[in-house]
Amino acid sequence: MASKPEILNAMTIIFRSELDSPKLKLQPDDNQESVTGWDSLAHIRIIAALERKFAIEFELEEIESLTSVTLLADAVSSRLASH
Amino acid sequence: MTLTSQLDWLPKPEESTLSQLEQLDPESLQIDYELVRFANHAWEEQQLRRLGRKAGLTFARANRTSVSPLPRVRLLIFSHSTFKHMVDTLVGAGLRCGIQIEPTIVEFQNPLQWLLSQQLNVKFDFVLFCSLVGKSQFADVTTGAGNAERTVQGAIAAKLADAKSCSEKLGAKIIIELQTENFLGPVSNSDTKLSDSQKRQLARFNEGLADGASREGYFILDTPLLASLVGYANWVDPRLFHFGKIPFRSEFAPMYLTRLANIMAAASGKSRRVMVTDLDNTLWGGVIGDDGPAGIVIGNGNPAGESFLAMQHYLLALKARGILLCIASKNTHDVAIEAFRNHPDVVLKETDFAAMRINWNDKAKSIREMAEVLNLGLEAFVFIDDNPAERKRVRDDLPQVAVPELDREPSRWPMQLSLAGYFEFASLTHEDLIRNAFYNAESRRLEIKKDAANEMQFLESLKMVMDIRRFDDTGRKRIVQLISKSNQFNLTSARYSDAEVASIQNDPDVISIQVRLADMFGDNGMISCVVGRINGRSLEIDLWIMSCRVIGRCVEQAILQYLVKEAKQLKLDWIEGEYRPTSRNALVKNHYSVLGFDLLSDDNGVTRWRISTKDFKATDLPFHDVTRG
Repeated sequence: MASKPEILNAMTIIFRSELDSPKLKLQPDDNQESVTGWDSLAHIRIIAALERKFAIEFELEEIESLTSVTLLADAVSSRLASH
Repeated sequence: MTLTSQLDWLPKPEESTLSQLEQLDPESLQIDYELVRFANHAWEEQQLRRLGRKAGLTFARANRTSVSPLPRVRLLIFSHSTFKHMVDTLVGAGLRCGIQIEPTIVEFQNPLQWLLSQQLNVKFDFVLFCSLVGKSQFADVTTGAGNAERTVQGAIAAKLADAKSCSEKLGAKIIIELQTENFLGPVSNSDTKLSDSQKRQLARFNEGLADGASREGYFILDTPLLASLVGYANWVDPRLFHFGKIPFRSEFAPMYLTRLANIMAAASGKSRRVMVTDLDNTLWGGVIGDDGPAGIVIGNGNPAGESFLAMQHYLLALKARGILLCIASKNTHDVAIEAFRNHPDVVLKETDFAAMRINWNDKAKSIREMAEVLNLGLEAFVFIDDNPAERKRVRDDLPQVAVPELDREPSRWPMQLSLAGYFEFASLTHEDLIRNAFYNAESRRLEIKKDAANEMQFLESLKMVMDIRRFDDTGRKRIVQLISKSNQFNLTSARYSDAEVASIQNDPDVISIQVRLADMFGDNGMISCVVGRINGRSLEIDLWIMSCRVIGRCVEQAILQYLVKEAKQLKLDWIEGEYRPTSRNALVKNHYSVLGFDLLSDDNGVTRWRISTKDFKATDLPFHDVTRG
């Protein structure tokens, strides 16, 4: 199972690719406001990429509410834990 | 194994290809067939999107100044669900089909109102009308006699009217997407019985659109077909539909968009019209030159034979649609052609093929020749072959030709080819259907020009590793088998039993070698054996056999270099060889002459040859490594 730093690392790779910003550094308190390009379309792509990477599925309500890096990382981690 | 979102007919990107994608720079990117070849990997959705994004930036820069070999296609898209998330992926999908797509996306708007509100100074080549997704404009049960039919007819008329206005105002070609089932309503087995069920209404709606399209010369994007090919329950993701009106699961975007791009490529003069096929282990199981016409696996009554038969029927069905069939096979022509003439289970006949190259030449060269004979661009060609090295060879040399990866399992090929969707018709006409007859006559009249391809470079790229060792216990079983199976590349037809091979192995006066060959596609296993006897100052070759799969790989030359070295160590001055003709081994008639031997005698076709070990000069051969056991 992936640790928190591993999840954050994987998220950084996905964000960089989905937002086309190769040098992006994700901070835990980053959110949709603070990260350039993280709009609702990018959000769907990020969610889809995370689901594929970790072989998990989020619920619809979560998709809407996971608007910060910490929330996303926690959700991935709890999904992996419940496997 | 699932046939879902994976485009398994495209080669998987290697590590180096992946890092190449990261390093592509829109500033210096060339929009050419090199890029088309690059796009034709089984990229995941994110990767194709990144490629499309970079290429899109290059288009924007390059359009005004440089000329690209790929036609520009400006596409206007009207959609009532989200489409913008696929815009970059669409550009990537276009590259796969050899076109440069420049999309304009209009979401959630009435097409005509949008047109009126715009001061358009862009010309569009195509307009795509996406279908409604998720919900349906049709009521689930009838609300009164005649109502349902009126709704359906009204919906057809409205859509066709929009299409007509756009076609007239913009002078663009029209693509209408058919509507998939409504995944929000209930369904049951009885729905089809109710004439006004939503299912029946939807079927009539799609049929009406298709009729209209056929009258007006519009194109149809058959998304219901794609959804059913991949499985409708996989196709939709209701979460993302409710979250962002995403019409279908995004991992299907590459497949969907590639099919869309196929239509536009076909309508821009880049339609695929020719299917070139290999023979051995592609149209039948086995190697006809070695196994003989009676030994090939084809026909009913045997599972493998049935799957090859199904493949032949698939090709016949393509031919009936006006696709030209051709052969590029490494075989002796007269031997292979027997299968079409006399084998009762081979349903394809010689006259089904518009052109054929059954010889020992490089296949890229053969395809180039046939393109010239048929007077068609290489963009029109699709090439299928079970051998990954041949596929790579053609892919490397002719990026315009579509070369699908084929599953290890031949029974999956028809479905795989249908999913790949190569054969898109701009319009399927009567002329298409009679084209075959025309080409058949035409191709027989025309002469062929020759063109040599850079084969050495290709061979080097295969990273071949050859292993040469003396006969041993480990190899014996395979040695005996190879000797008994090889009929074509067999100089003397000498046969050895297991016991004879064992005694050769320990005979100090015999040099016996077994050769294995591996390349980037895997291990070919043991592919050649040579047995030579020391007689005075000569090494006399009694047996030289090789698997035809590795012809043209310089294996013979490497073996000769090895033999010369061994012979010199034993202070032998000559290597002598003999060619004894049989009904199957015409292929190696000139074997010794090609290797630089001098003719000593010719006795009714049995020729003897000799080369001096002192004068022999070793040349550079395209092997990554040669190991000596």
